[in-house]
Parts: sequence; structure tokens; C-alpha cells
Amino acid sequence: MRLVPALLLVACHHGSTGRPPAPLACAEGRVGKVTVDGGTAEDVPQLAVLEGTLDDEARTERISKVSTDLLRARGYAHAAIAVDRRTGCGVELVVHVTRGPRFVLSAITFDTDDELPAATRRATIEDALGTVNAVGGAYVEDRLTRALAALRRRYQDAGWLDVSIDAPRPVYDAARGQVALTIPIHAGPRFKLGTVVARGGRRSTRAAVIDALGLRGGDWYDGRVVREAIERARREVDERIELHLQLAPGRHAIDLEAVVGEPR
Amino acid sequence: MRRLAAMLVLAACGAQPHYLGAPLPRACSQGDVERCAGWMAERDLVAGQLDVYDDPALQAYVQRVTDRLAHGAGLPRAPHVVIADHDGTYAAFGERIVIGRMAIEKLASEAELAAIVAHELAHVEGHHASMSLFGPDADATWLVARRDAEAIADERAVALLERAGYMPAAMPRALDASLDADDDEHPPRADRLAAVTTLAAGRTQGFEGRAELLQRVDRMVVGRDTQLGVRVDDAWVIATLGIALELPPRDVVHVDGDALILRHDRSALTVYPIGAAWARELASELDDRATADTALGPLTVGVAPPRSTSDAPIDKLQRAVRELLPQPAPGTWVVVLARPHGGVVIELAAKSDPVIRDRWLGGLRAASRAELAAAEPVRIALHHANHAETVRDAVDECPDPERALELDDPDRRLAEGELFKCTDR
Repeated sequence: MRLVPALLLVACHHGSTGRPPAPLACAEGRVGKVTVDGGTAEDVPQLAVLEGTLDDEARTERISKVSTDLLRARGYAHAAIAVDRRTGCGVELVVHVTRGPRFVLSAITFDTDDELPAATRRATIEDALGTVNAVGGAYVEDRLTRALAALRRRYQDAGWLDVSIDAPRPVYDAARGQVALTIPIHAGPRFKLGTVVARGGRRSTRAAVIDALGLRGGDWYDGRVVREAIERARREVDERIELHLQLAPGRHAIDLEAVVGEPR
Repeated sequence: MRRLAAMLVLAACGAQPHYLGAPLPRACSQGDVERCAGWMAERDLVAGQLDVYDDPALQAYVQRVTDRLAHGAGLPRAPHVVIADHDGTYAAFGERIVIGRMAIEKLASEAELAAIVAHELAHVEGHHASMSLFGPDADATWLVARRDAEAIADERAVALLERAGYMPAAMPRALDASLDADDDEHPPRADRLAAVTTLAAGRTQGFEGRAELLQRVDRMVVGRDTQLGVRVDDAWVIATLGIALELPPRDVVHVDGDALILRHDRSALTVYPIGAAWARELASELDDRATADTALGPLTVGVAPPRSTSDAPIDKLQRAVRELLPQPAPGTWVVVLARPHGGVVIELAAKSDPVIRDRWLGGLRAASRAELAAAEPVRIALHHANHAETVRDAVDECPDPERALELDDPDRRLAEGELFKCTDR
């Protein structure tokens, strides 16, 4: 007998999830329907979810731009979206999607002869688990622009202080659905560590700092190594140590001065 | 041969990339960023922090509400629901919806719960998380896009309630109950409420389910979970992990969420609980580390290492997700105590006096039964209205009427015998 109410409960539960979706109430100023022409709702999910929302023409325009950008991020480099509105169940939106051909990045060439490992360059610009701005993925121009700023910082951190990177040059092959990218890099001279000195504190402390830093003049400048060295020195010597970096006049070198202060 | 095969299998497993002690799902190797990041975010909650509210019946109930809404929305599959032990409610990447327990406690019906879920479901439908991953930089344009997405999720939620047969009027009520102060990423509270009120147009037809929700939240923890850390007399007790740290009388004690900060002159110590997998990983990555087995569990001392700078795509994603975990800054002296169900991180200021430091660490011990009992969190306790009255009047019989008033609309009319929420003390 106890089974009966249990079965009823199960039936109620399934009934609530299994019933067909109820239609939306139509109202003036509400988007009652969104249809997609030339594609599917999956192409423009940001616009498809406007069904049931308040009609806001300016907002719809902004969302169209976002949807276009996201289609382009999926490789549809020339994607275009237009939205028509008509009266029906409240306001009805018709989204016209023109995806255009999908382009896959077939090659990325860094036009330079510097010694930064090619794998580092590639890894710095690739995005989204290697699906964007990587060979085999999509080329997304604005994300590459940001990535190239990061690559520039990477170069500078590795000692190429005067590096400049020109705008990337994409070459589209519509027949093959491929885009090849050339990125011109002017690395300039690579800087080395100049003098490495410690100032302030006792002589023995200064010697301990230099020892803990483990940096030598003449080595290639590497920002990450310098940061790790200063952290190590602070920990091992347990002193306040300030780091001063200065370009060595007339040489492609950076002088490093560790200023020892009061005990921490 | 069989042994060799088993060893090869083990070797292969060892080579598989892991995140917080679990192998990465296939999405991570197939370039499915949303699903991969979503899986990592959930792993952060489960294994990185102690941030999943462990109530399978409540989780299953909220999942059923989500299934019903997803069916109404025509989604091929419903997002996976996680109940977090804090107040944040959000749509994570990869079709995951995280509902904060503290958001649920303020709701008054299943339809209001559905409204909160529907808002997040609209984010999932609209792939709004993709905008964070692939959209513009976090500048003014990004903020406008974020606010648009939030407004659309509110409004779309009304439609999802209608489609699933829930009462549309629940949306403004749920929003009113759950909204805090305005911020830059959301439209102003007043605008949000006005938009959903217009769309709901006072429509009260549809399923409300007040009794259904209330029965599910009976005995649910209310507010911050004090088992994650609370002061009990002269000790800081982390009941979830069964440990206590003695608080010396003249030290300055500061509490920041689940973290305790102790200060004595220039010495400082910060203690916070984390997930078991994260504790193991943190301990194993410390520089200059030394480990000792203690009565409380393995204790590792060392220095927090510099953050990884690997450019591998999966490492970049892991770094971005892991940034959200509680963790010591590089170079900090750290003690990690591993317990069966989590771990404790103790960060020590570099300038700490060794005597003070040793005194603090010497005060780490197992919590007593009395301390564990004192750390028991406040919970919801359902009461029946004695007669027809408002919630404001009914809560007079609750042990803490003010707190009970925060759990429902004070002006709600209750029928005689109708359930309402009190706290258990």
C-alpha cells in the first residue's frame, strides 16, 4: 500500500518536466518571437535568447555586434548579421545570418631572426586551448592585437628592450578556406646584465646579497630570473632589498643595483 | 605479463594531465574551452575549496527544477547544478549552474527558486560565458555587454518561467529577495526590478510551490557555515576538519570570512581551510619543504613557489581558473596540514618572531567535542502559523525573530497552519 503514494509522486514529478512548454504571452513592447534566417539559433545564441525579453532596439544592435564577433572567433572571418523587426506576437525579430566561408589558420610565420624560441612566440599568441590564433584554429584579429602586446612584453622581459611588432598580415585563400599569417618582428639588440652591485647595509650583508642573487654581469638580461633572484635574496638574507635597474650608457646592457635597507 | 600490462596502464594514467588530483576531461584535450574551464571551476569548488553544500536531496531537487526549466527552454540537456556553500550564484562555463546556499535561504517558493535558476539558465542559453572568453577586453564596451547580458537574463527568465509552467510573478519577488548593492556589471537594481515587473505583469497563474521549497530547505544551514571556522572561547575552531587553534590572550584577532588573522607586534599568521586535493598539491609544490607526520596528519612547511609561467594552452587556462583559489603569495612561508576531508593553510609573515610563531603553531590541536558542538551552524527550522497572520507577526515565536524576517517577505500573509521559516536558535 505504501507503494501507491510513492508512484503518484514519481508520476507528478515526470508530469512537471515532461509537459510541453507553454506558449509565451504576447504583449506590446515584448519580443514574442525570434527566427533565424540563413543559419541556426546555435549560430546566434545571444540573439535567440531575446525571445521573451523587452524590445530594445539599441540593445539588439549591440548584441548583433557581439554575435558577429563571436562568429568570427569561430573562424567565419567575414560573418555578417542583420536584424529585422516586425509586428506579430508583440515584436518579432528576424535575424539574418551570413556566415560566409570558414577559415582555418594554416600557417603563422614570424618574420624575424631573433633567438626567442619560436615555440614561446607561438604559445604567447595562441588562445582558447589552441583553438584561436593557432595553426588549425581560427584567426581572431582583435585577440591577436592583444596577444601581440603580450608578446612585446615577453620580448622586453627577455632582454629585447627596443622590440617593435608590426601589424600582422593575413593572406586569405577562400578556395581552401585557409588563412596564412605573417607577423613582422623587429627585435633590435638583446640587452645583457651590466654591473651587479649591492649598496647599503654591512659589507658582509652586501656580499651575502650578491651571493644570494647569483647574477653575473655579461649574462643575457632575463626579467623572470632577476625577479626570482631578488625574492631569493630577500628570503635568504632577510633584509629589505630594493632593486634598481638602469640602462648602462653607451652599451646594450642593464646595470642592477640591490639596495639593502633595514632588517625586515 | 598481466603484471606488466597493469604497470603500463598505471604509467599511462600517471602521464595523463591532472587538475586538483583528477584527470582532465576529454574536453580539455579537444579544445572545448567552455566545458574544460567549467569542469575546472567545479573542481575548484569541490577539491580546491570546501565550497560545495553537501545535501544530495537539495541538489537533486534544484536539479529537477533546472531540468523542468531546460525542457521548457528547448535545451537539448539541462545544465548541471552545484549548490555552493556561500552566497554566489552564477552560470559557470560548460553548462554548469552554481547556486549559492545563501541565495536559496532567502527564497519563499519553488517558483522563486526557479526564477533564480532561470536567470542563470538564460546565461547558459545565450552562451554569455563565451563573451568573457572571446569577447572584448574588460573595458567600457565589455561592461556594457555584461550589463546587457544581465538584463537579458532577467527578462528571459520570466519567459522561461512561463514556458515551464511556473508563476511569472515569482521573478520580481526572487530578484527583490536576492539582489544586494548595485555594481558596475549589472543594471541598477531598480531598473532590473522594473523590467521583470513589466514582463511578469502581476501574472500569478502557474505553479508556485511554497510548501515544496520549504520542506526541502528544512534544517538547511543559514548564513555563513561556522563549521569552516568560528571563534569558540579562546580557540579558532574549524569543525569541518576537526581542528582548533588556540588564541593567545594578548594577540590581536581578526576574522575575514573563513580566514583568521593573528597578530602580535610584527608577527602575523593567517589560517584558512581548503579542499583536500588543493592541500596535497600546495604542500607538494612548496620550495624548501619539510614534512612531518603529526597526530593531526601530515604537516608540511615550506615557501610558496613562484606562479607557473608556462605558455602551454592548458596551463594558461589552469592559471586563469586557479587564480580564484585561496592561496599564499609566492615567497610566503607556509604550513599546510592535511586532514582527511580538507586541509589548513597557515601563512606566516616573514618578519614573525620565531618564539611567537612556535607558540602559535604549538596551539594547533584536535577540537574538543564541546568546541565541535559550539561550531554547529544555525539552521532553518520550519514552524506553522498559529492563525492567519503576516510573516512579520508570525516570526515573534522564532528563537531569533530578526534573522527569521530575513528569510521571507515580512508582509506575506500566512494562512492558519501554513509553514514559515525560523532559525533553530
